[in-house]
Amino acid sequence: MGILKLIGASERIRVALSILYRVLVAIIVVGFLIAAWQFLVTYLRVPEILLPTPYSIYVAFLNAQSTLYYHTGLTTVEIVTGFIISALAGVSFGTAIAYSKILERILYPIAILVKLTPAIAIAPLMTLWFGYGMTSKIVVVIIGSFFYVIVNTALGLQSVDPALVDLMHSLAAPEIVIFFKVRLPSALPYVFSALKLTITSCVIGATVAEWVGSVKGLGGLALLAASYHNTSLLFVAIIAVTALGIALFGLVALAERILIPWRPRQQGAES
Amino acid sequence: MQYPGVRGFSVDALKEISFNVKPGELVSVVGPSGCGKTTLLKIVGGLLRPSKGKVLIDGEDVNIARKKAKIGFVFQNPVLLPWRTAIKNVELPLEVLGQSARHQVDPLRVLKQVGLAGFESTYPSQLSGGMQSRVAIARALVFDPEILLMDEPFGALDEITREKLGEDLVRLWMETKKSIVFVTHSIPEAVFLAQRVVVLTARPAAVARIVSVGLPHPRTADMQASREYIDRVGDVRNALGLSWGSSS
Repeated sequence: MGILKLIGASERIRVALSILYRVLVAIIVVGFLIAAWQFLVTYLRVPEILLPTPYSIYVAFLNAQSTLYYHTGLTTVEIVTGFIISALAGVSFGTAIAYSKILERILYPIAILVKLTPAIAIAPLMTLWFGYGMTSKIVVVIIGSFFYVIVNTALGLQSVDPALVDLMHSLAAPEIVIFFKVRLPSALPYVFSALKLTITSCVIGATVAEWVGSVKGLGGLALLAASYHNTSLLFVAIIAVTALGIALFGLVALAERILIPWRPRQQGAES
Repeated sequence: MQYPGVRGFSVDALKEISFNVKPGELVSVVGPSGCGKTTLLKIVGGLLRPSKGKVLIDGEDVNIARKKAKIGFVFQNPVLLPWRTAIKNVELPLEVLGQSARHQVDPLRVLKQVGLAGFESTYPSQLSGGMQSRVAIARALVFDPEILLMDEPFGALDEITREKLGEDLVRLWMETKKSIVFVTHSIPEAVFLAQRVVVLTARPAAVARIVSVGLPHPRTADMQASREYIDRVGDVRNALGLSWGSSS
């Protein structure tokens, strides 16, 4: 056991070192790129309106800080609300599809149709219907996102090991018990794969919806900055959306690791 | 107790099959692969409905017996829930059966019985194939069923692990006095474990012969050199249409 623990400890140090190494490499590469950007833009005299220097973007960020937080908060609320509704609706519809052939025939084509409608095309209509507030944005977010969860929930529920279902039947378990004890946990890895896709498409959906029907939120800020030819501020908005997307994606990935600890890691537990 | 019995039924996969299992008897079923052994076991356990015929356990219809939790299944793969520890996997039937479980065996005790003391909180992915099979057996024993149906439970294991598990199964059987139907495609395994071997023909399966093995339990490895063992293996091979010289 002592040796095992020792191996465990040195393994952890090895993992920590490799993470540190990767972070360092990333910082150096990004740092170099930013320095090169600053240098080239300054010495080639690229007009500010086309490509501002990293420094002027930083200044724009400092100036916009207070409104930036407001816009980011708004967009975050839209994304998160849309995401939660997409997830819940997706799991419900996916479950319905997994259990009923008829519902599958009705819901699948509708879901595909809705998914195929481009957010940019549907956003103005939603603004007409639901106004300039957050509701229209959330609806656009949901329309572009709930499809993945439907498909993967249905797939996950249907790809349960049949022997597990046999085992439950041998115990005369009712379907509801089989669902909660076997099917749903088995489907979770599939659901989370879909949720990771969903969160990214929620970010895009919210930004597009704001772009079309608002002067608020990060999409609205980007539109505003572009119309004033304030390219530095436009960059600030773009960077903020990207950072927000990465953070939200990270949260979903973290939830996955916490909720599905049994999911086999890259380095196999076998051996 | 009445004799649990299986009386002739006929489906696509299976023809005339009829045999009895006495209480506390260890019967193995052997047949060529694809002959419908798994189908037969599923019918015996009430997971499939035969188009004709009946399965009686303790004189009751198998579906009643299944609802009374009299049947324990062990499948070809251990089919453990990967998100549950060994002990939690063993407890699963108790959770499902709830109040309707007639007897409950202490999950820790069963786990110890199958030789996994100390592995309660280990996850299936951290257990070897043989250990996973042991958890599956413990799970089938925890609600104290009358009869244990085992479908090639050691089929995916290496020879050494398989033989060890076979010996341990016999020991468990002697301790618990369960009736066991053990399906396998290994002739030596069938003869080595069982008191009687039901030999099936190729599809559609029918009973070719029932071979009684007159060796006492517990059986030891050196019995595999005994006259009785060799003769009974020969009987099974003959019933399957294999002669000693040919290989299948």
